[in-house]
Formats: sequence, structure tokens, C-alpha cells
Amino acid sequence: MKKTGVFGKIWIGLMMFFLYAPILVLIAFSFNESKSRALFTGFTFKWYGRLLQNTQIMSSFWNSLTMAFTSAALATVIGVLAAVGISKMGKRARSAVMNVTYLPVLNPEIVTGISMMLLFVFFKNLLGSELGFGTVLIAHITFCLPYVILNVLPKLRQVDPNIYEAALDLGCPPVKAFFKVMLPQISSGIVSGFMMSFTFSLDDFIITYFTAGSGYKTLPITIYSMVRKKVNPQINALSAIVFLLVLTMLVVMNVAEARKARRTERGELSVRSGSRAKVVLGRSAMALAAAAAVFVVGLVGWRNYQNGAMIEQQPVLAVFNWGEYISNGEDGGLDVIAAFEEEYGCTVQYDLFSTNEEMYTKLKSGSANYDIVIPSDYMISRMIKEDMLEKLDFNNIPNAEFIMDRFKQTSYDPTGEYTVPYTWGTVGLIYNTTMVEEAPDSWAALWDERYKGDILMFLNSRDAFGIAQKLLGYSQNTTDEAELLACADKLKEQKKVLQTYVMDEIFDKMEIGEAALAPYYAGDALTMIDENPDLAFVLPKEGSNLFIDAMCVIKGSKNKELAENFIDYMCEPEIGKANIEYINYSTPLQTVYDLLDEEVQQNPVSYPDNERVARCDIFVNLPDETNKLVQDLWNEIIAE
Amino acid sequence: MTKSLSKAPLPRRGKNKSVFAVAPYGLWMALFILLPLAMVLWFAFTTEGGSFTVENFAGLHKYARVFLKSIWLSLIATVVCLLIGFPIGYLMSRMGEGGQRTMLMLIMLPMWMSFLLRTYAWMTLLEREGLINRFLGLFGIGPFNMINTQGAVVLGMVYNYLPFMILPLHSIMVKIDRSIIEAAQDLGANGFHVFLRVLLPLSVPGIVTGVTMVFVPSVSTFIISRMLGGGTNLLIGDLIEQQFLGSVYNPHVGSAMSLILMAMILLIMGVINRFDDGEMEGMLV
Repeated sequence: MKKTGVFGKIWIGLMMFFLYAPILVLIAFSFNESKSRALFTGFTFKWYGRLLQNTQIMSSFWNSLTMAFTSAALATVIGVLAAVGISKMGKRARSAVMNVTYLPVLNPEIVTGISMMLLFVFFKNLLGSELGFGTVLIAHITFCLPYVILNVLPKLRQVDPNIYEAALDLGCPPVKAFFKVMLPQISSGIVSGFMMSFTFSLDDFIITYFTAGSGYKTLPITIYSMVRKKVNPQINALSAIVFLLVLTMLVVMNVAEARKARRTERGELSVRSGSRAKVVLGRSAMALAAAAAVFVVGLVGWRNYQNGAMIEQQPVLAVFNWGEYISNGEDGGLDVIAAFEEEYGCTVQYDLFSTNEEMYTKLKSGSANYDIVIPSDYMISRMIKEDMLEKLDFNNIPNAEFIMDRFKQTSYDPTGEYTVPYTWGTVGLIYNTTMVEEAPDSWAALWDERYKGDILMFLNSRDAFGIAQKLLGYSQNTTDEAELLACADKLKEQKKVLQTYVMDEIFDKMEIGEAALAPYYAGDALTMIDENPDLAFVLPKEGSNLFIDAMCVIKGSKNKELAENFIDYMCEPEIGKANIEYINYSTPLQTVYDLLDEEVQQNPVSYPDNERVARCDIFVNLPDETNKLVQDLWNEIIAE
Repeated sequence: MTKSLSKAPLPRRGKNKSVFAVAPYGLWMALFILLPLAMVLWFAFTTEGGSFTVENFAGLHKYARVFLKSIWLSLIATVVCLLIGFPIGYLMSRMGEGGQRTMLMLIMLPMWMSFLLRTYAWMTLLEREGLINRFLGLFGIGPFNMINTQGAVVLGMVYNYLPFMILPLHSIMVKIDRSIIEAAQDLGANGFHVFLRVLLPLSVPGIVTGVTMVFVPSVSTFIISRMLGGGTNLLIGDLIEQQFLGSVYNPHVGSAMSLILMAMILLIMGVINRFDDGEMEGMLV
């Protein structure tokens, strides 16, 4: 074999650098002292230690492994049978079957995902079967099957049918002949089919995303929910471990393989050059299998520990909330969810959303099931109108008594029967004092040519229109078509100075100085200012949006009483205080407010004076045709 | 394939029974491949009330630019993958067994890390305050605006799908007999001619597979564009995701978009497959 030339080596080197640069970054940041993904502040091993205690990450990792193993195994059994059958078919039948087999391979994953989601939701409405492990398993088997079949078929073609015939002639029953004669000859195809399935299943995000519903999470799903706001460095730590394990196994197998190859060369050349690649891959597949086995064994221990600690048959309460919107035990605060679980002997399944519309879509699509959601005002009135919420039994929520008067009578829930407010706040401008020339006081700053490329904007029609409406002096609840068209033009005009449209990413990007100006919620702004003192917040002079996020119980909740207990628990003064101190939003509860530090009580960002509040609008639910117009205009703006 | 079978036709005895082995798979296909696609078709042509309509398609012309952009960016990504992958595949196929083994291992290894995380890491690299700009800043160069551009989206596609180009190319090229290339050289062909007249035609099945396996996921992605392209570089995948689990709930329009996407891919794949009449050879690494 010819040696690779200098240019070849450089080319390969560059490609390898390209492939591995992000991986090195990931591993490096698993040792980062702070949670920032951009600034390296110091070396630590702490994330590795915390990883093992993180039930959310570890259980989704466990789910990924079991899912990959189960789906690959079942796909292998069905696929091998299918391949045997296909190989015996007539030409026409075979090409028909093969065309369908190629479909999941050639179809974009997103189409496979949504098509199965439609099917599973249909079944759910018909039979009441929830989306979860079962539906993900079916989906994974479906996209793994072609790989098994396409790996096994070529092997079957190489098999001499006469040997099998001979076995039958000698009186061997067909099934036994299959296991004794056929199977050994196609085993390498089976192994690589299994391993490809395992790998694809393990890393699959898109199809799982559409078919998993709300309760079941694999590792990629958990990672995705973090990518929006902030990836926990524990994930980096887990990836680093997985990476090193796989690397080690592959190196070991590779060395063993090389030794064997040398021995063979010395003896005789038993490896035909044509099948070399396949042999190589077969071996790496085995190495991967071994690596996988190692994880499984390691995790069984963890799992047993978890099971031992868990009481069986606990009720599960599913909560759907905004990202970073509850005290979770970090920064020395209270882990509210864990405390509730302990007090009420239940398990809380806690999921995140990043816009009201996204939450609404997930509920509406029928793929998700929740007991409690915490949407904002206008979305609540829409959900009440569409009969998606249960009336609350306030006997179970004694703490509701302490809601401040102005939050008892609200436009979104006039009778006060459906909701208990969780937090409130305003939308304002967050800016980096080192990047702006003077402190902004108007929404017009988001259109300022001087900050071209340094401005972020909401990726959410209602919030984005709200800003344009205030700037142009309209009500945020306008239904006037001409006014809305003017807003759309204003927003289009803004595009040329924007860096990008984002939601939760604003958090991260402002904190690390990636942008100069962005609209954001007052509470989160305080959290960001804590992390980066260069940031400041202003409630623009034109006025803004005042939002109230409130807890509601979803229609048909199977744990309504427990859900009400949860709502009451959130209103406990100490719990409320822990939440408010962690998330920095404003509390609607007098009892909680009284417990806060005076410094917080006086902070104009959280508790602005009445004059400023008077200039703010609370969103109300708009008529359908207005919603549709806004949505169409918005689609035009962002798609342009 | 048919050749080897016709050489040794099976007696009828074995045939009838073995065909039944395909039954569970046949049922599976009908239920979980064909039925879901039928549902997409149904949703695309109905309203919320269930009556027939073509409205769902009629409104799609607004998104023509998004569709074109998706195709354009993924075509660029595919070409870049081919330009990087072809020499790599060739170099690998000429290596010794150990070298090939190591290379395959190194190319497949990143796939064991979640692609979401790897793409996320690119954000850290590409941002204005990111690692690349900081590094260049040490030499007084930059900062460059890399994130939230179309280039970043293409980079994300190339990064994630490059292995799917290299692997089939390698497995086809490793089968090309060296003596054919040597013969061409002996007969006076220069390097360029060897490439154009010998290497390239013999690699076509691998190229077709590689192009398919890079183009299809690129054109339909919704994460890469969202993470690296910002909200201003929406692709078809983003639009579809928005209709099902994003901020706009409309599975009917989403289904219509999916059908258009499928039709486009079939069309483009049809054109590419004119170059190659075989099955997806080399897809199986």
C-alpha cells in the first residue's frame, strides 16, 4: 500500500480537527467552574460528582440505553425474519417490499416523526393509549428495521442455498436447519445491523421528539430542553465519560485486531481484500457492543440504588412550566420539587416550555399530558374559553387567601375560579452598559442603527407585536387591522438592525456580552444582572406589557387534588420566598412579599411604582381573526 | 442480485413457507410506515372539521423563499461534503488495513456524542465572543460575524453529516482494483484523467448514496438552523416543527408542507439517481 502523501496527511489532519474541535470544547467545559458555556472561569471536577445524583439526567440516560437495546433487539428479530422472507420472494413482490423498506431511510426524519405522531395521537384518541415508552419503541423499531434488513440481505445472497437444502434432505427440520446452517453464515450482517440500530436509536432526537409525548425522556430530549436556556455542565461530564469509554473500547479492539491481522499475514491471507472493510466494521461494531455492555452494567448499580430508594406506585404529578422558573436547589436555595415530592409522597414529572404558544400547541396536539400548567394571562383566557381548564377547589388551596387584591380580580379569569397567580412582572429593555452610548429609555433603541447587529428580538408574535404597538402608541390589545399592519411594517424595518430572533437564548447571549440590547422579562433581567454587573434594565417610557403567570389545572387531570395541593404548596410563604429569591420575578402574594428582604421589596425592577405600572397593558385574548392575522403577518416577517 | 438467484433457483418446497417469515414485517410496514404517511396525506387535504380542502397548500406560496433557501443551503452543504469527503474516502481506501480501521473509528466516534451537544459546542466556537474570535483576537484579527449566518447553518450541516458522505465513498472505493488505476497510468493517463475517467465513474454508486444521505437530513433539519442560524434563517424543517410542536398549531398546514418537502426530495433524488441504477449500494458500511 502506498503511503499517504504530505497533502493527504494535511487534508486528513484538517478534517479531524474539524470533527473533533467541538468535542474538545465540550470536554473542556465539563471542567469549568461556572455554568457559562463561553467563559472558562476555573477548573473543577464537581460536575462529575453531581452527575450521579442528578436523577433527571441519569434516568434519561438510562432510558436512552434501554430504548436503544430493546428497539435494536426487536428490530433485529423482525428484520432477520423479514430478510429471509424477502430473499425467497419473487422479483416483483420483492421490489414492492423493498421500496417500502427504503421509505424510512429516504424520508426526512421530521416527516417520519410527524407522521407517526399523527398516528399515535389518533390511536390515543381512539384507545386512550398514552404516548411514551411504547410509542417511542415502535418508532425506533420502524426506523431501525431497514438497516437490519439491508445488512442481512446481502449476506443471505452470499449463502449457498444448497447447503440448507442438503440439511433438509438429510432430515433436519427447517427451523433447526435455519439456526444451524443459515444463521451462522449471516451472523456478521446481523451483528452490524444490530449495532447500527443501537447507535441510531441512541442518538436519535428528531423522531423521539415527536413521538415521546410528555412523560418519557431519552437523553437527547433532556439535552434539547436545556439547549434552549443553558446546558448543565453535568451533561458535558456525562458526554466526556461516554466519549472516553467508547474511545478506550475502540482502541483496545483496534490493537487486538491489528495484532491478529499481523499474525494472519504471517501465516496465510485468510481475509479477502474485498471484505476487509466489512470485517473492520464488524470488529468495531463488536467493540461498540462491548462498550455498551460496560455502561449497562455500570448503570444497573445506579438503577438498583434508585429503585431501592423509591416507594412503589407513587402518584405522578405532571407539571409544565417555563424554563428556570422554580427554585431547584442550586445557589443554596431549596429544591422545591423534591421537597414537595417528599411531603406528599409523589413523583413530580417536571417539563419546560419557552413560549405560551408552544405550551398551547403541545397540549392541543394531544401528544402531551399534564396536570398543572403555568401560562400567562392571555393564554389562560384562551384556554378557559376553549374549555381546557378545570375549576379549582379552593378548599384545597387555603393559601390563596393571601393573594394581593389587585391580582384577585383579573381580566383573564374574571370569576377567579380557574387560576392562582404564581408570579407577575413586566417586559423591559435589558442592555449592556459597556456596549451602548447612552442608557436607553425607549423601545426605539431596538431600532437604533448604531447598535446594528447587536440587537436581539423576541421570537414570539405576541411579545414582538406588543413592543411595536407600544412604540407606535397603540394598545397591546388592538384589533385594528391598519394598526397591526403598521406594526408589521415596523417589525420588518427592524430586521436589518437585528442580530437574530430568540427567546430563552437571550439569557445566555446577554450574559456573555454577545449582544447589546434585548427585550426581556424583569425577573430574569435581575438574574442576568447578578451574573453580569454590566447589564442594566429599564421599563421604557412608552409603557410595556405587564404579565401575570398563573397556575391552572388541565381538564381531565387524574390527580386534581394533588395538583391543588401543589398549587397551595407553591403559595406557602417559605416556598414562595424560595422561588421568588431564585427566579427574581415579582410575587402576587402578600405573605411572600412580607418575607422578602427590604432591598428586594424596594427594587423598582421587580416592584415598579404605580405610575409606571399604569402605562403597562395586560394582554387579553384576541379574537380568532386577529390572532390569525397576527400569526400570518408574523410568519411573513420571520420567513422573509 | 438477481443473477446469483437465477443461478441456483430454490425448489418450491422451501419457498412457500419462508415467505411467511416476512409476515410480521409486512404487518409492521403497513401499520407504521404506510398508515402514518396516509394520515399525513389525509391531514394535508382536510380542514379541522374534516372536509376536503386544498387551502392548506394554497397558502404555502408565502414560504417559497424558505423552501428555496433550504434547498440551496443543503445543496451547498452536500457539495462541500463531497469535496471534503471524496479525497478522504480515496486516501482511506489506499491505506493499509490498520490505517483504514483507525480512520473509520475516528470518523464514527463523534457520532456517539449527542449531535445536539456538538452543535451547541459550535455556538461556543462561532460566537462573536466565541473561542475562534478570541483566538484570532490574540493576533489582532477580527472579530468576525459568524454565528446566525447562512454560512454557520451550512457549517452545521457539513459537520453533522460529513461521516455519511465519507463512509459510503470509502466502502465503494476500497473495492476499486488498484490495477485498473495502474493500467490507466501505464496507458498514459495523467492524474487528472485517471480521476475523471476512472476513479470518478467507478465511485458513482458511493457518491449517489453519500449525496442522498447528506442532502435529505440537511434539507429537512430544524435544529441546526435554529441553533446556528438564529431566528432569521428558518428552514422548511423549522416551519414544519412550528406547526406540530412549536408556536403555531396547525397539523393540516404542517402535513401539506411535509408533502411538498417529500415531493421535492423525491424529485431531486430522482434526478441524482439517473446517474446510478443500482440500489443504495455502499450505504451499509
